[in-house]
Amino acid sequence: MKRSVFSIIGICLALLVCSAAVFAAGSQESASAGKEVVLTYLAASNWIKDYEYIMAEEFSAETGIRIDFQELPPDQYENVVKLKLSAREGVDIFGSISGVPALQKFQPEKNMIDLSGEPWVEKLKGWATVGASYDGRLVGLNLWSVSNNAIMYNSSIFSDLGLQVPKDYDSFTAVCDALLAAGITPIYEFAKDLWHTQYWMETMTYQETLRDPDFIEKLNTNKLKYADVGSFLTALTQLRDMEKKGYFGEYILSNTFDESWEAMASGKYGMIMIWDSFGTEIESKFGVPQDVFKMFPNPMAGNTVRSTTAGGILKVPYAGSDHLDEVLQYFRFITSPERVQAYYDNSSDLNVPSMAGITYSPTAAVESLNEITREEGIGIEGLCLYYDPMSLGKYIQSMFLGAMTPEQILAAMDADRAITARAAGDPNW
Amino acid sequence: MKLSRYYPYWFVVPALLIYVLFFIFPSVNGFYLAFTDWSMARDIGSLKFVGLENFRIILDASMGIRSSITNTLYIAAWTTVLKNVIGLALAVGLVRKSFRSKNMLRGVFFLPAILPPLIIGIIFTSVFKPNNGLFNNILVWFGMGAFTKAWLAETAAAFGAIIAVETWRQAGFHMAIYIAGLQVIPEELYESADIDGAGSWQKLVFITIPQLLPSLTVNLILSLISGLKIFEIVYSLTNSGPGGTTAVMLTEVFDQFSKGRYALSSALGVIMFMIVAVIVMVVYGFVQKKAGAHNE
Repeated sequence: MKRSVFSIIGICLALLVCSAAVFAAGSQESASAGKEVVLTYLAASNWIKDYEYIMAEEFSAETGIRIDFQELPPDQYENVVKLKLSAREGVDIFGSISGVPALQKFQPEKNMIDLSGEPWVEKLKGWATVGASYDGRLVGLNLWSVSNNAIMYNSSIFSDLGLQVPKDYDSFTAVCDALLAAGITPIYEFAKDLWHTQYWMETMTYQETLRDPDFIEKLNTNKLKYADVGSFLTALTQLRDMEKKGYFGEYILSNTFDESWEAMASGKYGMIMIWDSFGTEIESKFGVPQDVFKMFPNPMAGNTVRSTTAGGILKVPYAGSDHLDEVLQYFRFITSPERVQAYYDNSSDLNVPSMAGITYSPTAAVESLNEITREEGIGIEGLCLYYDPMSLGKYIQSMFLGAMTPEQILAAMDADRAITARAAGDPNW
Repeated sequence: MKLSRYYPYWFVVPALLIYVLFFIFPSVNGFYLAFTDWSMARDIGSLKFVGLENFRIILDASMGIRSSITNTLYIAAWTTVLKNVIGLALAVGLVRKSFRSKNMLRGVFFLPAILPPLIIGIIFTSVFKPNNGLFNNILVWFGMGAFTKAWLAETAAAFGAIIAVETWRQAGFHMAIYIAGLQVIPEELYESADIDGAGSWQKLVFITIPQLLPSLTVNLILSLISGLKIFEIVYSLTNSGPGGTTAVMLTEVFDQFSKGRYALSSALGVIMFMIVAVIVMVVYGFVQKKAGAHNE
C-alpha cells in the first residue's frame, strides 16, 4: 500500500517537473527565436480607426516592432482590462475614455506613467491635455477629436414645417409640439442603452462651471452634492415632462443605439441628442447627406452653451509593460504632423483635431453650432469623480416608469457616489 | 492474494486537492472578503475588516440591491414550476411507443438546452421588439393586435419574457430526465392498473408520479439551482431593466464588481450561496421524505 502511494506521488512529481521543463523550454525558445517585439494594444471595438492599422504597418516596416491590436466587446472592456492589469498579463497599451472619472477606474497611480516630457506633448491642444491628465500627470495620448454633445435636428423637416431653431426650453417644447402635430416623433431617444439618456442632464452641466469656476472642485471634494444643484433637478424634471408629453415616442425604453442612424435617416424622427459627427455616420450608412443634420445646444435648465466630452479615446501606456521604450517610440511615430494629418483626412467621423496645425473639414453640425455659440467646455462626465452614467441611466428609466422622482434620483446618485468614493478610499467621504 | 473490491481512499486525493484549491479555498476566501473593504482602490494585502457593513448596504432598501434577491426567488419559483410541468408533459407525451415522430420531437425540444443562453437572449431580444418583433407580428397575424406591447420595457411583461425564455430553454432538458425515469417504470404496473380499470389520470397520479420521484428530485434541484443562478438570459434580454426592476442576484454581483466594489460583490455572493444552499437542502429533504414515505 505504502509503496503504491509513493509510486503515485512520484509519478505526479515527475509529470509536474516534465511539464515545467516543457513550458520553460517553450518560453526560452520564443524569447531566443527572434528579437521581434510585439506591443499588445487593448481597445474596445470601434475605438481603433482604420488608418491606425496602416500607421501600425508602416511602424512595423520601419522598426520591426509589431502592434497586436486586440479589440474587446465594449460592455466588457473595462472589466477585462482591469483584470489583465491586475494580473500583469502582457498589456503594453490600453485604450481609455478621456477624463478623470474614466482614467480613475484603471488605477492611474499604479498603472500609468507620466508622458509630459514627450516631444509631441507641446502640440496637444489644451482640452486634449486636460482630458488625458490625472493628478497633474499626462497619462495618455489623445489622437481623437473632441465631440460636442448637443441636439441634432433634421433641417429638411424643420424647413418643411417652417420651424425655427429653439433658443430656450419653451421654444424647444413648441418645436416638439409642432413635430408631434405633423405626425413626426420629435426625438429619437434610446433609453434601453443605459449610457445615453443621462446626456439630457449632462450636456447642460458646463453652464454650472461658468457660473461657479469651483463647481467641479466642490463636487470632487464632497462640498457639493448633486441634490444641491438646482439645474440638475430642473433638467431631470423637464426630461420627465418631455417623456410624459410623448416627445420620445411610444418605445423609448425599447429603443437602442444601433437603430439610431436608421431612425434619423428615415425622417420619422426630428431630433436626437448626440455627438457632432453623427451626421457623417448617417451619410456613410444610409446616404442621407450630412449637411441635412444640424445642431443646437441642449436648452434644458436655461442652458445656452455647448458641452463637450473630455476628448476622444486615449492610448495609455501600461506602467508594467516590458516594452515602454518601444511604446513611446510608437507614439512618437504616429504623432508626426503628416501622419496625424493623414489620420484626420482618413477618419471622416473626427472633427476638431487634438493637435495644433492639423486641418479638418467641420461638419454642418459643428458649423451650425458655431453660428449659435462658441462658448464650450467639458461637462461633468469628463471631470466629476465617481460620476456614474450607467446608474443615472437606470434611475431615469425608473423615473419614466413612475417609480422615482427627480429628487430621488439625485439622492440615489449621491448615495451611490458615497459608496464608490469610500470604496476608493477617498478621504473626502 | 486478497483483492479489495473497492479502490483505495487515496485515489480521491488528486481530485480532492483540485476541488479544495479551486472551489473550497475561493469560496472560504469569498466569505472572508465579504466582511472587508476590498475595492478597486485597495490591494488585497491592505484590507480592513468592516463587519456587516456590506450586508447592511445590500439590505438597505434605498440602495435598490435588495430587490434583486426577491426578483431571483420569484423567477426561480416560476421557472421551476413551469420547467417541470412542461418537461413532464412533454416526457409523458413523447414516451409513448405509438408516437412515430417521437425521436425527432425529443431532439427538437432538447435543442434549446444546448444553445448558449447569451445567444438565446440576444435572439429573443429581437423576437420581443415592439416594432416588427416576431412575437408582436404573430399576435397581429392572429387578430390580437390589442395585446401587442413593448415586452421588455414594462416590468411585468419583462418578467414574463424572462420566465418564458428560461422555461423554453430548459424544459427540453428536464423532459429528457423525465423520459429516462419513465422508461424504467415496469410495464406490469400499468397492465395491472388496466385490469383494475384505472383511467389515464389515475395511472399518472398513482403510478407514474410516485415512480418518477427520483427523476423529480433531480429535476427539482437542478431547475431550482439554475433558476436561482439565472444570469445570461436576464443580462442579454433586459439588462436588469427597465429601471433595474428585473435585476437578479448575479446581475447585481456583476454590476457591483464592474463598479470596483469587490467586497460588496462578494457579500452578495455569500448571500446567494446561503439562499441556494438552504432552499436546495429544504427541497431535497422534503422530496426525500416523500420518497421514503412512498417506499414504506
